[in-house]
Amino acid sequence: MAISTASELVRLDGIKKHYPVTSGGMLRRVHGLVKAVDGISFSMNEGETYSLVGESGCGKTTTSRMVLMAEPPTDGSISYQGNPMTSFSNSDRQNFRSSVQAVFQDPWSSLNPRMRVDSIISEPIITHQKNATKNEIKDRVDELLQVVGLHPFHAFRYPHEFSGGQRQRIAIARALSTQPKLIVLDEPVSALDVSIRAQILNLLKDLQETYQLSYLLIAHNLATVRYMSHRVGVMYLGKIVEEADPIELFTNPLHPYTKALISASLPSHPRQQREEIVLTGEVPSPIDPPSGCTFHPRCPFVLDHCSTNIPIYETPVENHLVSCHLYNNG
Amino acid sequence: MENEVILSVNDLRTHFFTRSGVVKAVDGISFDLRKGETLGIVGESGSGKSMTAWSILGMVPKPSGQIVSGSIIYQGEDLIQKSEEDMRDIRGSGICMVMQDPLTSLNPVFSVGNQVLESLRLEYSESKQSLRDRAADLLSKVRIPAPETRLDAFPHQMSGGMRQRVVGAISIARSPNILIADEPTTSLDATIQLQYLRLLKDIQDQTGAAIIFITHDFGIVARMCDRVAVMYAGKIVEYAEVEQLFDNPAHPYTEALLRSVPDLDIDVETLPSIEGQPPSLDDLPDGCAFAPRCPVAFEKCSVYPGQYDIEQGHTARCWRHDGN
Repeated sequence: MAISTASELVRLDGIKKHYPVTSGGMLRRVHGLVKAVDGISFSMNEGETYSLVGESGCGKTTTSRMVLMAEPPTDGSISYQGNPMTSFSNSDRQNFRSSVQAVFQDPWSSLNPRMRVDSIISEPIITHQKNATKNEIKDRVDELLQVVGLHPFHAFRYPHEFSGGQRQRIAIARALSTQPKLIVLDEPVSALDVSIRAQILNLLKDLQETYQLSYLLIAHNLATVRYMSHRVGVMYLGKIVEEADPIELFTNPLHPYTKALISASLPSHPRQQREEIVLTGEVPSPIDPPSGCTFHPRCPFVLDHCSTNIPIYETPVENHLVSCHLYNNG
Repeated sequence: MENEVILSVNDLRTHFFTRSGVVKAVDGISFDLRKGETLGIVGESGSGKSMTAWSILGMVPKPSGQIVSGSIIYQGEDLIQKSEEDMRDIRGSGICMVMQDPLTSLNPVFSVGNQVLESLRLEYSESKQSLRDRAADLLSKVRIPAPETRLDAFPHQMSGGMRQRVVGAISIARSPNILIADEPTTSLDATIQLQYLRLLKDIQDQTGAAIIFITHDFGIVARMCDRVAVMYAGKIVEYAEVEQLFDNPAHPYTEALLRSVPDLDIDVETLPSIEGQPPSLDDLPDGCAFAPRCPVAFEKCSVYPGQYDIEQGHTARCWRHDGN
């Protein structure tokens, strides 16, 4: 789905995030680095969903925090509408903060229990539009509540009066309040009841179409990712090991890790059989990642040079990137 | 698979008496568990699936929670009539809960061997050495390499997968007939989950225990279970063999739920979703609890439907199947 017409909103270039491991003594000697994110690049287009998948600890949440400007990268650059974050002026930064919002996994802890719904939703408006009048804010809150499928009278209630799905709708209304261009969705439905999930996913899809929103979706459920995304990156130990459009990725996975992830996902029918790829061992520590390809100690198709040479991105199929020696014909 | 029924739950009702009224967490459910089979109890939060498990284990939170009627027959005796002491013994030796989170269910300050021996000591009064041999034997049953030396290791010295195996070993230490696996609300990573499911299958093959799987995930049901009970608002709304349920879901709730889950192998433009929210248990409608959300509800649904046969071994509580 090479949409060259869609314009690029955010680009990450060789992003790294290394956290120092200190001795804890007075001198705080650094004796190691946790390479949470270790050189990733991708770009997000306007009106599209980019998804990051991978197991816990692979760096997907750290990546989203850097996109949200909640944490500066150790190395590499992130640019928003062609403008690198490091050269943001104060007004650029303010503009960026209102254009990028987030919806988190757990709507029980992401909403302040002591705030009424109208103050939860209007807080970002008050912060970013200093000249908004009380009436304008109230109208906007009412409108937002309706947009996410709630009622204006809900504005006077507190979060505990709502069910999980309704709370997630409030969180979405809050994210929409500043008319953002990008919303980071960190596991937006995995804390919700099964019968509610499809509602929220469909709401997110509708909003994307109406407002031309871009999403950075972080999820571990591959079926959800396939349903929501325009482009998917598979992460392992701080690196993107494979990137493709969802249909291509899930029908023709190339990287052994992607294959293993797909084989581990649950069937949708008892008669459905998946090829089972069993990975040996555990995810290694990001403090001391394996040499060469970081996946080689667990890879069922490991080659001799996998432990010494770092794989580069190959494009065996158009628009389908994979970093694996199996596809290196050179 | 033998057809001998080892656990029979009849018209079980577990209610909670709170200041704001009676919460009917489990409201008249019946099912049989046969030797060596895997039964899935599927439902959303508040459907009563976990409280069913807790009722069987005699762990209903007191004093607000009470089993108000029904029976749970295990080995010819009604578990509801048992004393607290007897239940303590049955938990572990007869019916055992398998913890899913290996990181929090082992004690970090005791060695693995110590924790395995703790349950063995309750079962066997033997010498230290022979108990140790039994413990090592258990660890090798769950495929832990070099079990003798592993007994002296502490949980933090083991990987996540190993710890999961140790927890599995502890749960089968007293060779229970029934294992109950209650799902944690937070989900495990896919590859870890697969490891866990394989471990359970493995344990089942070796011990012949029956498993009750409490879950909200139809994927787990499809992969693991022989039969399924779908719960909604404290009642079993559909009960079937697993293939019957997926091929021919009879209750509108099951049908809608199965369709609303995204499928990894199929592309859809818009998922059919279920409108509304799961009901709150202290304020249930008189008739079918699903009726307010049901796309095919009609007048009759304001009266609670009975249980109707769909095919051999497949029942549903829905007026559409009452034969008229």
